[in-house]
Amino acid sequence: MAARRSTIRGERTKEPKNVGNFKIGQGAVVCTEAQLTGDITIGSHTVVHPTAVIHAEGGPVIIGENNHIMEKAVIINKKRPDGEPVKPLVIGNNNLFEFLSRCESMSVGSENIFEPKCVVGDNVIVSDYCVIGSECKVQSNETLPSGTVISGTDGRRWNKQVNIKSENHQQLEYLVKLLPNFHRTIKST
Amino acid sequence: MASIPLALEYKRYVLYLCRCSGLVGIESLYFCRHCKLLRCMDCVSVQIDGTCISCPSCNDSVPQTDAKAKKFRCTHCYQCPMCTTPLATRFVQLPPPPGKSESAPDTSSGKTDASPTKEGTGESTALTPKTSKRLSLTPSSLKSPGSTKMYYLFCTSCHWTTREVDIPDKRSLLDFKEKPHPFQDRYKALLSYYKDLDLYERVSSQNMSRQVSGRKPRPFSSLLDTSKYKKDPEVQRVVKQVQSVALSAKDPVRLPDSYYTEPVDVSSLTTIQQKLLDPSHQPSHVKDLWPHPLPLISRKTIRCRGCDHILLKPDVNVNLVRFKIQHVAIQVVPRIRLINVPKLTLGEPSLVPVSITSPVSYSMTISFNQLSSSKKLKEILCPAVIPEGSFVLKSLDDTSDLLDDSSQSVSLGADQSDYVLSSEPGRIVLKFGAIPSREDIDAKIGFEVVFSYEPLIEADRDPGVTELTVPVIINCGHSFA
Ligand SMILES: [Zn+2]
Ligand SMILES: [Zn+2]
Ligand SMILES: [Zn+2]
Ligand SMILES: [Zn+2]
Repeated sequence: MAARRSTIRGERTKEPKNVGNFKIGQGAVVCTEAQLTGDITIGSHTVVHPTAVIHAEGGPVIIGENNHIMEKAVIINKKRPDGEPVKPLVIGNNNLFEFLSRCESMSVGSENIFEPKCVVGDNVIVSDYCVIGSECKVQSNETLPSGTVISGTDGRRWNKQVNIKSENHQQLEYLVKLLPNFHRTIKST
Repeated sequence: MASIPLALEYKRYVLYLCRCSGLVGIESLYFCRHCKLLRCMDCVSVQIDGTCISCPSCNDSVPQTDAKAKKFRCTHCYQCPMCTTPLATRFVQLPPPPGKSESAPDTSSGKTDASPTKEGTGESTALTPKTSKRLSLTPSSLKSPGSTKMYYLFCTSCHWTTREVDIPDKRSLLDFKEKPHPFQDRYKALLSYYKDLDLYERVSSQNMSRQVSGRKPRPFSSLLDTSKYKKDPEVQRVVKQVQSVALSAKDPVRLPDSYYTEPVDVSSLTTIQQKLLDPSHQPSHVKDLWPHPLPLISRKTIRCRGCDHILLKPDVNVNLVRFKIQHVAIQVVPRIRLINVPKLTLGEPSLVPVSITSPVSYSMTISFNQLSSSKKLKEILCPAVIPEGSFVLKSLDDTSDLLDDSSQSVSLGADQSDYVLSSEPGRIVLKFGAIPSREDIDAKIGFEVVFSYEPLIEADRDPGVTELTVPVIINCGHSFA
């Protein structure tokens, strides 16, 4: 309740502080309302919506091209215990991080879909063409093979044999044009 | 009664106990405003409207006789064999044949050469009836002679596609067909055999009755003599026909060697539910799945069993999801929710935070009683600590966020604030307690919720009934020693 009221009663002037070292590629749109901390590289034509969260705590986060990171999606390179080497979190191209999805994965390939409210733990390696269904949690220590689909209330898995490339290019192009009209964007530092 | 422990094992944390001792979620409880009683699905009468059968995906309504002929399935909607979601349609734009593109060169030809198959975007149209019909009846190949659109079916939920099982892309949605039945010929032969047999027996019994009426009684033994039938050429023809399509039992089905030598890949096998979706094939491998025609639905009218008043009646129009008459408990009964999974210690009173939300526009007085339960329930429930006294839930006002808190908070009696964790208009969080007594089962507490009731319509007002009672059982989870 307190949280709800604070949003209504105008704490909007406080924008989240984006502290860190950002490299943002050509044609990418990263809104200032997104929370970015740490060393983050974002490839060209990637769209980061307001209120999306990217934290580079345990090393840099490197995001490829044509990724779509929606509102309240969380991408974290988790802080590792002392003594362990710093590892970058590399995310490939054409991935879709939907509303409220949470990705703490070690590495993410290309053409993956993270559906709303899914959780991917920090010991998981996501390869290509995977679909993590909404509300599905993967927190084991494993590599998801290419084309893994996890969906349903029981988190059932199967493997796609036929992979179809994502079709969100048109939507991304549209958002790249539209978002800067209504939001301030972060420039590369 | 056997359903009680079973229902509690589901991952539902809060269940309401109906008068018929069935345990249900609040969404499946109805409230009869005439009898002032809560009723679950088991104690209402359901009336199925057979005249109104429709497809849940394309909303086409089908006459009853047609529906029977179509085996109660839609002819142009399919459901995902993986997860039963209605399949959406997508298309691929094929480039024009090379001969044609040379004769009519344009700017797009270079682009199509670079990417030979261009995926159609956003054309997931099976959910919208008009467009799906348009797609199926007028393939766009007619419009633009250069390129052809090829359709495939796509599940928006689990991303299964018809390409997954090597079904080639089709030019029209009508080209998608049900998988042919493996024993179709045999069924047809058997059906014709029994029809023939029926006819034969009818004719022979007519002959017999004529003979009987002709006062030439025959000994009954002749009726039991089947050798006469066997000699009949007509019977012999039919028997041969059936034998020709009969399955040979010489070769029993043997499991392939890979069953014993290779590790099992669970993700490539189908579940029992997936198998039973298609009873005629029962595919055991994900590769053998096939899109099923979508089952049609009919509308249900639900009546109170006590007074026969209608509790739920859908709108006449198939396309509308709204209801003409709707008396559900969610409009009257406070909604009880577990705030978080409590930490339970065996044998000690542990805190169970429970939120109570009032759905009504009047201020609701609410109090709690210990559950006077049956023996069977007492076995599975553990002792509960219940807030004493009554709490008043003010009606939820949309403008309350902008007003000051003090005028809107819940009014409490003395010593009652100990029970309240937080309160706001229309919602209160109270401290309940559970004393887990067994380690082998989840700790469950039960109590009765007594809440005030004011009918919306003046005619329903009954001075005798100003409050209602509903027993609630909460599964608090596992306890640790
Ligand atoms: Zn009942
Ligand atoms: Zn249909
Ligand atoms: Zn599906
Ligand atoms: Zn009634």
